Amino acid sequence: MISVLCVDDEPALLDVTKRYLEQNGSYLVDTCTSVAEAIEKMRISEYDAVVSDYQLPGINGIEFLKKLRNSGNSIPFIIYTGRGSEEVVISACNAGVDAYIRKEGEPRAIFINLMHAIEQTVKRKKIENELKFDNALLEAQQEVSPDGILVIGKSGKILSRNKRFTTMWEIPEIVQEMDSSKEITRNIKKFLINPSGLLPQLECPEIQGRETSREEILLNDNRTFDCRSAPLFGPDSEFYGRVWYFRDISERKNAETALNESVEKYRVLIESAKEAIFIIQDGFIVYTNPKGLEMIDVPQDQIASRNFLEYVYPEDRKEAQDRHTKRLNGEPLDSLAQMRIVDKSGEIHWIEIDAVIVPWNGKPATLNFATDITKRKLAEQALRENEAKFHEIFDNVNDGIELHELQESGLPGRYLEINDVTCRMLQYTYDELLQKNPLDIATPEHSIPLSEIARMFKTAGHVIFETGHRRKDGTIIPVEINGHTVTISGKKAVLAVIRDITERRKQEQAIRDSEQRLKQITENAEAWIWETDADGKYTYSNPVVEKILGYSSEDLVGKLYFYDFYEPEDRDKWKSLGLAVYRDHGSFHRFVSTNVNKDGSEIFIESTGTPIVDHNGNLLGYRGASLDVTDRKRAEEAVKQSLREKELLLKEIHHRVKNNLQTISSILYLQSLSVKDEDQLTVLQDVRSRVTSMGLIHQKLYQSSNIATIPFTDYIYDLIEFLSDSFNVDRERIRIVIDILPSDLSLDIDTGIPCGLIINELVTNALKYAFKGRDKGIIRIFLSRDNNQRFTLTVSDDGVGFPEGFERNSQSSLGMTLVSGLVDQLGGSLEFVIGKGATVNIRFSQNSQLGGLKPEKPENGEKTDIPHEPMENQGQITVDP
Amino acid sequence: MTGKKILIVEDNAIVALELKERLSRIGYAIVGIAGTGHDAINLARKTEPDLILMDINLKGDMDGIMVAEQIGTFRKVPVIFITAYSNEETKNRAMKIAPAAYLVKPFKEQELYSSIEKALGVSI
Repeated sequence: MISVLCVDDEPALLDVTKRYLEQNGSYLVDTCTSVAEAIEKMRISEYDAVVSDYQLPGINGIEFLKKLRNSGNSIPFIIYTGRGSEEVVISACNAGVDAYIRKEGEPRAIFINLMHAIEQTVKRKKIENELKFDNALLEAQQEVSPDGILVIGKSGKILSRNKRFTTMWEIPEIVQEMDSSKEITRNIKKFLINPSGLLPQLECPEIQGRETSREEILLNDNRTFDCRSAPLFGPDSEFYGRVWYFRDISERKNAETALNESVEKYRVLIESAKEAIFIIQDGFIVYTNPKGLEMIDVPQDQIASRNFLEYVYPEDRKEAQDRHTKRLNGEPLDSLAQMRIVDKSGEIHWIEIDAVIVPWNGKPATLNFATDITKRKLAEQALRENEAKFHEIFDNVNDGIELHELQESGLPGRYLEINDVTCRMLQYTYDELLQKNPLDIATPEHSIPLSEIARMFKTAGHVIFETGHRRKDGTIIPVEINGHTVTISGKKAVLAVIRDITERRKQEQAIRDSEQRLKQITENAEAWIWETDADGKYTYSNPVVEKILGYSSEDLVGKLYFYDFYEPEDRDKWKSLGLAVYRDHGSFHRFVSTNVNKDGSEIFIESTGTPIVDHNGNLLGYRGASLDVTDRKRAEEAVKQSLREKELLLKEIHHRVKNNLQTISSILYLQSLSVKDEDQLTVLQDVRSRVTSMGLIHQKLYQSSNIATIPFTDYIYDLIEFLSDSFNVDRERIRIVIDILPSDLSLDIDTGIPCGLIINELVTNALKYAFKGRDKGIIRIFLSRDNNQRFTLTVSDDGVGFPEGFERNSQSSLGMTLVSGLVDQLGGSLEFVIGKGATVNIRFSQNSQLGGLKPEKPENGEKTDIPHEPMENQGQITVDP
Repeated sequence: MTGKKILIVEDNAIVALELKERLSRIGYAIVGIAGTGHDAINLARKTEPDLILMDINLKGDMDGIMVAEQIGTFRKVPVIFITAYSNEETKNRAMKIAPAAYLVKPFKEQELYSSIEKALGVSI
């Protein structure tokens, strides 16, 4: 929609024009008939174009145009008139008319012409306005740009430049006015350190072609320009020239340089800093200086591999994390913190650390300054411990400690400091005591006179003495004072330890009592109590020695050795034995030695002694007690002698019994020589063998080392030998095998005699009857004792066996009657086994009360150890025919 | 071998008789029986035996070994000691005399006979 104001003095024409223009709806037409009216309308409304007649009442169209243009209004203005003189047209053009339309010809064509003119004019006006705006914009932009802008045409002529350009290149006003490209480039050249770079490009823009360029150039006045250029093309891509932008970046450059220098300075500072510096970001150490590396003892390239907390001592991690978080959150913190860190080798360091927040690569980080304070910390700790220790000692020692003034005279002044123990000891409060002087407390009696104490404090500076202290309740306690002079704030004072020696006094008394008691006991003792040194020389002896050995204590102590009293013939032996005991630090108990009394008589002394050793185990000597056991010893000897005599007597009796039995045996033999009857001869022989078997028992008894028991194996061998002899046994024909377990079996006389007789009867019986009508045979004698002291005696043969109808009770012969009776006497059982040959089993126990067994070697509970083979070699008894 | 003179020194007369009887039966001449050391020495002088059977344990103040020593001073005659004791001390003492045999009671009869034969064989 184009709004048009039509001005004409002919209303009819206005009406036609309005109608025509508005007919297709693209025009809005307002009309008026005078310029005055038109100006009024234009004040109220805005129009896109004005169509005005030339000939108007009052002011004509040209004047109207001039009026508008003079007022700055550039609205499209079309003269539409019937008059068309050349002057009017010229003046209209001069006044700035946009179109001139004649009202001549065919009206339809005129209106089309008019419409075209209006549209063209409005459009052109619009473009013009836009162009003007663009230019103004461009110009404004150029003028405010911080960059100097230079546009150089194809031929090297300067097409455009802004103000900034002239100021930054300091182009004088004269040159500006001259607007000479050559002058301007000459001015630029003045600043260039290397003109061959930029200058040809400015003089001949086509050198760089279609490329854009950028370069920093340093001017000889130390400024730095950032120079950029781009080619300028026309609508048909035609090369017009090149646009240059110059930006003064000197400040930035200087800042950069300054920053670089500053960074270097800080780097040196940081690298050589005595403090460790850490930058921690996102929980990792992103930077540390050499001191920091040294502190945590980790290579630079491995630092960031672990969370910083891992370098912190576990107990301190929570606090370190808290501080780090608070620091990053900007919360208030104590400036310095102390914590422990652990280096690679696991060593703990105390550090004092402070931090600030810094940006690091665009993100917040903490910059930490740490100082190793381990030594200081240890020193502090040692100091604290020492102090604590001192207080601990001061207040908890068992002794009182006091500090008091020392006067010029050497006498004490008032108390300066007292520990708790002193207060408790003396029953005063701390404050009460501070009002006092040691002389107020001490009793007048001292182990050293007071004047001497004073003198010693002045000269030696140290005194130990004993005195009494009067307590608040009036009681007096004995004390030992151990005082040293000290200098406190330039003044002489005494630091003294007060020891309550009540207990010590009691103990001393107890020791004295004990010593007295011991002295009385030892001196009144029945026993000779003595001590020797490590060599055996007497160092102490109670007076009893005189009663025993005839020597006084004075004769012994420091002069004689324990072995000096031994009997001369055995002295060397007993001396070396005694000294061996000394070497081994052994004890001896009731050791009896034979000694010689001063009067030469023999004395038996029974001694008990223990070594005295020092804390290193070195022998100091021996201490012990001895008794005169001469009477007892003599009595013992007498008893032994009596016993020996009795044993001899008993042996003699056995010998005589045996001799008597042998005599009977010989009588029976001699008697048998005169007997012709075979039966009588047999009877005599049987009796003889019974007597002999008993005689042998008595022989074994008197030969035995133990008078009460019979070595039964020997006995049986001897018995069998005798029987073999008596019966003229042919060893080729009859073998007698003896098997006794254990082989050293012993029996007492009450068991041995019946047992021997039984064997005699059974073997005799076998020899007489078993092998009648036979070439050969074996007789076995088996005697064993089990662990329960039960005996088994078996006599067997492989002969003809018991006669038919044989029964134990029949006791058909005297032999069997005897066997049966003897078994009963033993309290045993008798069994006849009838089978191949004859076997008699007898079982019995030895009543230990009757005689007692000879002590035997333990059998180890294993019977298999004992050879069970018949002792055939010994058992084979042969008598030549 | 028969007819050899044997002196028996044995303080038990009955035992000596048995011995005499046994030896006589096999042909020896028993020239005497002595019950004490003194008798033995006297008989040894008087009967000049070819062999002495000597019991070590004798009545009186001399035992058989001492008697044998005494006899050895005037007559070289083999001695067979017979004893019921067999302790080492006695045996050692007896061995110093270099007896023809040393028989411990009870010995086998045959042992006695062979000892006698051997002793007489050596002495002849």
